[in-house]
Amino acid sequence: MNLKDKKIKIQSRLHVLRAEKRLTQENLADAIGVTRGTIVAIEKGNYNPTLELAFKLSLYFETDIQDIFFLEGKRNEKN
Amino acid sequence: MKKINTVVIIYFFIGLPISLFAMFFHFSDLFFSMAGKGGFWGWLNGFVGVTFGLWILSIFYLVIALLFSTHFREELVARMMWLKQRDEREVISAGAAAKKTFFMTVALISFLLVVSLLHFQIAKIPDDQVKADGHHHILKMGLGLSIWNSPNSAQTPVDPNLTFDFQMPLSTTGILLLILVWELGTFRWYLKGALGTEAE
Repeated sequence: MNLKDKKIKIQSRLHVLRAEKRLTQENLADAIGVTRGTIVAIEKGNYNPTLELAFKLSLYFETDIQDIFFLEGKRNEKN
Repeated sequence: MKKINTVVIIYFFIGLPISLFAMFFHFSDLFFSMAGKGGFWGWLNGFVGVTFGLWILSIFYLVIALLFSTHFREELVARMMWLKQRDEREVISAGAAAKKTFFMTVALISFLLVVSLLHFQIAKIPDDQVKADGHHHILKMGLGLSIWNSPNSAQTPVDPNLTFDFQMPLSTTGILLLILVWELGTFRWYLKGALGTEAE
């Protein structure tokens, strides 16, 4: 499969997971050591976090990375 | 040392507009004549002079610190954008802004280089030398390709027939100041754009 020219848009369920835990963006940002602006950017799809930050989020929410981030139109059905 | 860095950076940014004012107006005959009368203008003259002198001193520190102090460089970015580079997104944004600023600065320097090379003159042709075509003026275009300032250039007699003479109007100091302000301004602009779009 040739993916050289394929545009990939990554979406996240961060806002859903955050709402389930009743966390504000500020709470989550403080917990994982980033700014609130970064949480806002991830939730809006304006910023793709590094693998390190993605793993931090998965550890914090005790879930797999694929359950937080997914390709546009390819969301894992189990969620 | 960190406190000195912070003080120097804050002074550099506060002193920059005052120093620009000093360079544009302070060293003019009009300003000096007004300052000579004392009162507010005399006080302003002293204030601008001292601020400008200290600003020049701060630049000596800034040059050395930018070369050798990582903390100073980080502090400079933080003060420019009120940004501490607290997380990866801010670091990445600062890098992207630096990249764009680099290309904008290359564009400005290239433009200034071209302008500094060009020399336009329009001269009046003396009446006894007017040719059959009836033109009374002549356009001269030249390229100044010298890298070094010629010490004799100021003594070149001015052609009394010149009606228009254009070459790079900015001095070396003016050009360097323009590049400095441009670089700081574009970096701040791009960084603000990169970070500001995510604000709710």
